[in-house]
This record gives sequence, C-alpha cells and structure tokens, in this order.
Amino acid sequence: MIRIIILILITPFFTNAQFTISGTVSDGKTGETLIGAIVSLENNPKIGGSTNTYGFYSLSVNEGIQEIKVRYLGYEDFIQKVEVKLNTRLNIALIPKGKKVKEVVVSSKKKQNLVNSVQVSKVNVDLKEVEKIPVILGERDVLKSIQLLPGIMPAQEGQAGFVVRGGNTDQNLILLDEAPVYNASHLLGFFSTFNSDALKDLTLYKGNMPAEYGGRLSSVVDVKMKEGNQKSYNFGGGIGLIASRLFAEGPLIKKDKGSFFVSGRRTYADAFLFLSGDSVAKSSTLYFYDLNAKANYKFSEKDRIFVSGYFGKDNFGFANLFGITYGNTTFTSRWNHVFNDKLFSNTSLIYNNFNYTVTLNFNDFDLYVKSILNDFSLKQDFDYYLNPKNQFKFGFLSIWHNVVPGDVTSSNPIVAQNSLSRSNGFENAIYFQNEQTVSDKLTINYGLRLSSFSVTGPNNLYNIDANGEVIDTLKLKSFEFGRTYINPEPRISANYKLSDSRSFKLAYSRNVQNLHLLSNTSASSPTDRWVLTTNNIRPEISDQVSGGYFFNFGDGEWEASVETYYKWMQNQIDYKTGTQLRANETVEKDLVFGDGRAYGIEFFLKKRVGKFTGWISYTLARTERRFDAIDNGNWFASRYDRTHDLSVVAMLDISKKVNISGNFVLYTGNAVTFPTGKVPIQGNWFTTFNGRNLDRFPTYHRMDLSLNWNLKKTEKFEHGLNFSIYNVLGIKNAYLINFKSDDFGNTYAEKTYLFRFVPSITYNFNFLHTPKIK
Amino acid sequence: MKLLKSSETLVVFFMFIFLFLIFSCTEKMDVQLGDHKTNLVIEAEVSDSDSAYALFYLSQPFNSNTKPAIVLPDTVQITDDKGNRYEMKPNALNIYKTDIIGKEGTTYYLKVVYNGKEYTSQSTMPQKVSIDSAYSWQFFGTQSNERVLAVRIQDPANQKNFYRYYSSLSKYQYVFDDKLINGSRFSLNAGRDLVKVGDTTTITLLNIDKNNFEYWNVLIQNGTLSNNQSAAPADPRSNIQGGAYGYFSAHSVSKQTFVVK
Repeated sequence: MIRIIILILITPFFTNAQFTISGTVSDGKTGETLIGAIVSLENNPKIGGSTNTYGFYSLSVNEGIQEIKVRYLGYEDFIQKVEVKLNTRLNIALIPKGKKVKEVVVSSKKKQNLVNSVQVSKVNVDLKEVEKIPVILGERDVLKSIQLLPGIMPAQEGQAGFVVRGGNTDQNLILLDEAPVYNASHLLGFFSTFNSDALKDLTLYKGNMPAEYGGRLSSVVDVKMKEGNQKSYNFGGGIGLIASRLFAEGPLIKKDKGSFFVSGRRTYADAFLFLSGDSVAKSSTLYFYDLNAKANYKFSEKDRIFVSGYFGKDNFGFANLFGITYGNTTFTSRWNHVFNDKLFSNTSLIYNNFNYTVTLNFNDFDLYVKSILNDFSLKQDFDYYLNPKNQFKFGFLSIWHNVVPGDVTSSNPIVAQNSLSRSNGFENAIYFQNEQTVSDKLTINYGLRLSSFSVTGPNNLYNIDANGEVIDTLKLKSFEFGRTYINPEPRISANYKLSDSRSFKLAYSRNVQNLHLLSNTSASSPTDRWVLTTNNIRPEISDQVSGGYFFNFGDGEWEASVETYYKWMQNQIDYKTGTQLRANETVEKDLVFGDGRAYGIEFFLKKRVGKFTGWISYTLARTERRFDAIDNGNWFASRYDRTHDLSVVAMLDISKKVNISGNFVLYTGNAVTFPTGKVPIQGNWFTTFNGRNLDRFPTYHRMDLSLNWNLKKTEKFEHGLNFSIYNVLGIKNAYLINFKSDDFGNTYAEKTYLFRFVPSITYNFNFLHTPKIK
Repeated sequence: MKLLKSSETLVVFFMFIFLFLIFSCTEKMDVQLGDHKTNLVIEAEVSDSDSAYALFYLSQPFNSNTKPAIVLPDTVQITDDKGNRYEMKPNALNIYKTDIIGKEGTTYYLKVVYNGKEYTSQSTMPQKVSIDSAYSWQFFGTQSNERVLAVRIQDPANQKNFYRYYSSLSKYQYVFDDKLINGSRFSLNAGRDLVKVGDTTTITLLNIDKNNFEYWNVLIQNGTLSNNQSAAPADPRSNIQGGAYGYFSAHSVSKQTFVVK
C-alpha cells in the first residue's frame, strides 16, 4: 500500500516528456469548440487526454514524427502526422458524420467512454439523443431527460425538479456557463429554464465530483451554452402547442475569430386559459419567457473572451386578487488565456440573481412581498498538463451571497413597511486535483477542496435557547464577519481497467453545502425560502462512497454498468410542526437539524449505436432521515425514498427521415404522511396523524411516444415535425391525495391526477446562410 | 369558486390553478391507512359574550363512517386567576355549560376528569378588537347575485393580535395574525363560499391567544378542507395537558349581522 502511495507521489517528477502539442478541437462546420474530445497518439494510445470545457488539449510527446488522433461522438475520426521538433500548436477541426464520403473506415463503435473515464457516477448527456425523447407538450427538456437515468428521479410527476441518490431538490448545483441557477424551472415546475436550442453540453456528477466543483451535496449539473457558429449565419426556431422558440447565431466581426448566439422562448399557456369556461381563468395571466445570449472573440491565439447571459421570467396573475412574478438572471464573463503549451487558465466573473414578487389584494390595498437572492462570484481555474501521466487542475472560487428574504411594501402608506432582515455570506474555496495515470490499468483522480463560509453583515445572529426562543440578537454591520466554517473536502476516484472493455471504479468524496432551501409544501414553489448558513444553521455535509463495474460488449455497441453507493448526510434541515417559513423573521428557531443516510444500487444497460438505440435503467434504493424532534429521533423514510425506479427508453430510425421513440417509467410513490384518525371540532372533521412519512403514494407508471419527421434537409434549410403523446396508457397517477368529507359527514380519500393522453405537435425549422466574410 | 385567505395558501393554490383548470381530474380512491388509537377530544370556550361551554367526543379511525361519538366526563371545572371556580354539568344536548362571562386579561383554567384521567389547560383572554364593518362584495367574474363576505378591522398597533373568524353561512373557520399588517386597517374575506344577495348572515370575529392561533393554524393547514398541502403534516400542538385532542380558548367576541346586498 505504502509503495503505491509513494509511486503515486513521485511519478509526476520522473516522467520525461520532451515537447508539447496543444491547441483546440472544434467542429469543422460551425467552429464550435468540442468538450471532452479524445486526443491521443495513434501508435501509442496511452499518451492521450481529452479536451477541457473550452476545447483545449495538451499532450506531451517525444521528438519525431507523431500521428495525432482525435475522436468525438458524432464526428469522423481525425488523424494527422506531425513532425515534432518544438512545442507545437495544432488546432483541429473535426468533420461531422455524414458530411463527407467515408475515406478512412474507422469503427466508431469502439468508443468506450464509460469504461475509460476515471469518474464514477458521472453522466455525459448526448443532447442530440435528448431531442428524440418524448416530452410533455413537445417542449424538449434536458432536466427531464436526465431523470430517465439511474439514480436520478423526478421530485414529482412532470417536474423539472429532481433528486439524486436520496438527496433533496436543493442539493443539486445547476450551473449555466458556471453561474448557479437557483430555481431551474418555469410554470409550476413543469418546464426547466433550459431552452434546448441554446445548449451545447451537459455533464452530471451524482455526488462524486472532482475537486473543481463544490457547494452542493447531491450532484452537479454543468450546462454549457452554445458559442455560436463561427463560419456562417444560422437562423431557426420552433413553433409548438405551448411555446415558440427562435434562435440566431453567426460569426462575430471576423470569420473564425468570434461568434454569437441568441435565443428566446415564450409560452402562450394563457391561450389555454381562454379555452376554459371559467371567467376567472380568462382574466388570469400565465406565461414565461427566456432569453439566452452568448458571444466570444479570439483576440489572439492565446486569448479568448466569452460573455454570456440568461434572463428568464414567469408571470402569473389570478384575476386582480393575487399575482406572482419570478425569474433568474445570470451573467458570466470569462477570459481564457494560454500561458504556455502546458498551462491553460480561465478567469470568470459571475453574477446571478433569483427574485420573486408576490402581490396580494386586501380589498382596501395591495401588499407586495419581494424576495431576492444575489451572488457575485470570482472564479479562477488553471489546467496544467505536466506530462502524459499527470494533469493538474487548481484554482479558487469566491462568492458573496446576499439574501433579501422578504420586503413587504404596500400601496397604502399607513401600512407599516416591514422587511425581514437581510443576510449575507462569503463563501471561498481553493482546490487542487490531479488526474494521474499510475499504470496501464490504473488511473486515479484525487484532489482536495478546502471550502470556507463566513457569516457576514448585514446579518442578524440569533442566540436561541433549548426551548427554541430567541434570547438575544447580535446585529452584524456591513462587511462585519461573524462565524467562519472551514471544511476540507477530499475527493478521490480510481479506475482500474480489467481489460479494454471492462473496468472497475471506486470513489469517495465529501461535499459541503452552505445554501439551504426551506420548503414545507408538497409542491415546489418559487416562494420556497433560501437561507444561508448562520450561527444556528450549520453547513450540510455529505460523505459518499461509490463503486461500479463498467463493461462494453458486442464490439462496443452495448455498454452496461452496475454502481452502488452509500451516503451519510449531516446537518440536514426539517421544521417544527406548523412552521410558517415565509414572513418569519426568526425562522431559525423553528428549524430542527438531523442526519440522513442513503444507499442503493443502480443498473444500466444501453445500446449505443445502430438503427435501434435506447437503454434500461433500474435503481433499488433507500433514503432516510433522523431528527431528535421528530418521531422520537427514529429514522424515517425521506419524502423522496423510492425503493424501485425503472426507466426504459427506445429509439428506432424507421427511415432517414422518420424516427420513433418511446419511454416507460415506473417508480415507487413518494413517502408521505396520511391521516389515521379524525376528530370533530366546531362541527367539522379534522384529521390526526401517527408518524412521519409512514404511508406511500401509489406506484407511478407512464408511457410516452413520439415521432420525429424530417420534412426536408439541405445545406441551406431544414425543417421537421415532432408529434408526441404523453401518458399514452392514460394511467390515472395520483398527483395529490386529499382527504375530504362529504355532506353526510363521511370521510374519504380523493386523488387528483393530471396529464392523460396529452398530444402535442411542434414544427422546427433552421435556415443556414453562408455569406462571404473576410 | 374558491377564495382562500392566507397568503401561503394562496401561493400554493395559485400554483395549481393552471393544472386544475386544464388537465386535472379527481376521483375517490382507496388507501391503506395506519392504525388509529382512540382518544378524548375536548372543545371548550370561555367568551366575553356568551356563557362558557365544553363538548367532549372520542376520536375515530379516518375510514370509519360514523357520527361523532359524544362522551360525558365526570368532572369539568373552570377556574380563573381571581380564585373563582365554576363546576360544569351537561345539559339535555350533552353540552357542559356555566354562566361565567369572560373578562379581558383574565386567565382561565380548565380541568377535566374522564375515565379516571385528568386533563388540564389554560388560556388568557386577549384585548378585544371589534369588527369595524362587515360587508359583501362581488368577486370578479361571478354571477350578478353572488357575493363574497368580508370584514374590515382596525388592528391595534400596541400588541400582537390573533384572530379567528367565520360567517354563519359557511362551516369553515379561518385564523389570521397581524404579523404583516400590524396597526393597519385591513379587510379579510370571511368564508370561501359565495353567498346570495338577500341572505342574512352574522360574521363573528374572535380575539384568541397565541397558543390557540397556532393550534388552529396547523389544524386548518392539515384540515379536511383544503388540498393536503403540508408536506409533513402532524397533529397541532394542543394547549391541553394530559394527551387529549382539541383546545381550550378564552376569547373576546365581536359580531355583526347584516343582509347581503
């Protein structure tokens, strides 16, 4: 054991590489950089690596003639001979599949990503595949598609909100171009904030993330927006039943130097309200829109600037009684700099904001409740390609969090202006990681993230006694520091290759979370309250161990995996009975803190290539919580405890123009608390309960179908239609279960179900224009 | 047509309106529920206008379809912090009554002995806040002869106030606290049901203490009345010691009777 550790520690200094080949890999047709392309030497595949999130690679090679090979899913393999006498810059453009006559026949089947990558619990989502999966009302949605993968489950039917390996919905770090998105859903949670037109790449880590990521316990969903076509102007969109989308992209200033991408989407759900006979519904408003924009420019071979932003808003108004608007804004500006052939740097300045305003009508006056969450971040990342066997990443992240939990104002000047105290926090992290090839068989990614969270002013720190009453309050002034929590977060994952097509992986990681979402309703709501770590609310901590066996068969046509995990969680949050989370100045005294544990096994079988593709995913899992104040400190099932979770996805190309796809999901219902008894009070029956989450919703199952029909596809124009039916079996899955009494005083359970046989049709189009640009 | 009052309920209700109007359907279903242990239910009130009363029932399993089962404890007694003591006896309707009329600021104590077990409770009658005016108004989009009932209240700024209120035309009750509107003149819609022009109604406003507000707030959230919104419902904390369901409340009462116009 000690010998292995010494070997790991000293090998970085004993490998002697002479020269470096570095550059970027991009799509030859659009100029869009490619993330995760495999770059290696043809005669020695062991010398290789993959492109980083900016498409950059660096290989250390011996002097002489080397044959560089680049592979990427959906593109022709690239091979080029290079004579290496000095450090060499080589930018590589890959040609998309089907764009050229096959000159060299290279089997694409042999790409064996799952087996080779070091990370266990990592998922790369193929966005082209996502387009084929049926979705409700025809709105393609990547956050819903990932729920068909093992270990990732919807929080509730049709919701973009999801839970990963027994976590909660707030334990997912959702990044859009590095900016955290706090409420990644629209319209009651039924649509995600991610307009699929604007997306380039999505990578998901189910807890065992490398040290470069941090801040949430369960997962990281790293979404990258498209950079835009560097070579030609492109304009397209889609018209659907519920929403329409438009996008435009093209070269910026100079061809191959820069590009831009803009896209927009707006729903017209209001139209459905007009169909309703209800006059209140007719006078209501209900819509959302999103805007995505991104631009980049290469100032030199070594410097590139990116600016990207997202702006989305939901607007509901219920007659003149009640209204709510809410939305996210993110803004990211980045500077890529290549210091030398081995050292790549990215500096990011990020701003993100989530806010909502509720308007309540009190007949005599209106009341407005406004809540805001702001983050200002500075992030610095370095990639250092020391030698073929060691690739370092290191950097830091600083975030200033500012929370306005609720400012109450009124149209009536007599009503006292009432604001909940603001809170602030300063979060910092430094990290270092190395991906090291120890031997032909063993690759290890290890690292340490050291994170800190400081409670900062303005902030109210409450001293709460054992009875849950506030004894005294310490008011922090602006930029005054309160308590600081420091947590080391070690991460390690190892891949041991048993053969070219089989590998065994093991990982451990600790994650820390300092932002917590308080929600005590069964449905997710934009008004759920985010709170920062304070003197009373401790950082949430999780430790996860996972292991997996990954293998390919059928000449790489099929891949399969079995993964298992065990996760411990500390400082989990729940509430005292009857806690009102909103408009509660000292919500901390109504919180209770406890532990969580989650464990499970995940099976995955996928057919990757051919006319018929698809997968089966099955998870057997358990997740529990324990709080001293709830059920006498006994373990109870978490709301999202799903014993079984099965997803089947099938896609078939019927012809070059038509493909059909279907999916089937089946999972154990949420753990809930049903009444057991009833008491008569003031002439009404009220319910009584036994313990927390002792009951279950009925098992959920659903099948959806869709058909994609490419009407026309040329170099200049393409268009097509998508038809889909959601819940084709018409299953009446319970969305809510209410307990009611009828006119005779008899009590009964009643379920509310949604979405049976929901059909949709969407028309998509795309114009390509290639002007002569100098 | 539903009108809901608390802002929290409104938010959640609104989140569902789209679904309910467009896609949702409901049907009765059978669910397997946990075992219920039968227990005493106490409903006891002291007010500044009517004589004090107490009612006793047994709780029942949720799935049983029987009428409320009234029981008659051996001892029911109310005392106050001035040293007065009142024994209560059941009348022909099995309601325990005594003539005491409550006073603001006085603390009342309840003692019940049932099946040899003692239950106790206390409640302090808060400062009285009267209904400023009661009225009816037409909600947007309803029939021309349909109205919503409302009360207008001038909330005193010098203390925290907790209200329970109801209309004689509705079986539902509501609670409200002045956390957001302290000291202002405000209106509350009384009742989720629409009433007809020409109906006569009495709107009752009670000033209750904090424990009773918290009890009723959770009771209504859990209740059989609305969507089962609470993600983790649990029994409300009763102000009765000894392990009974129910409440004991000393409150002031303000009423207004009028014809809906």
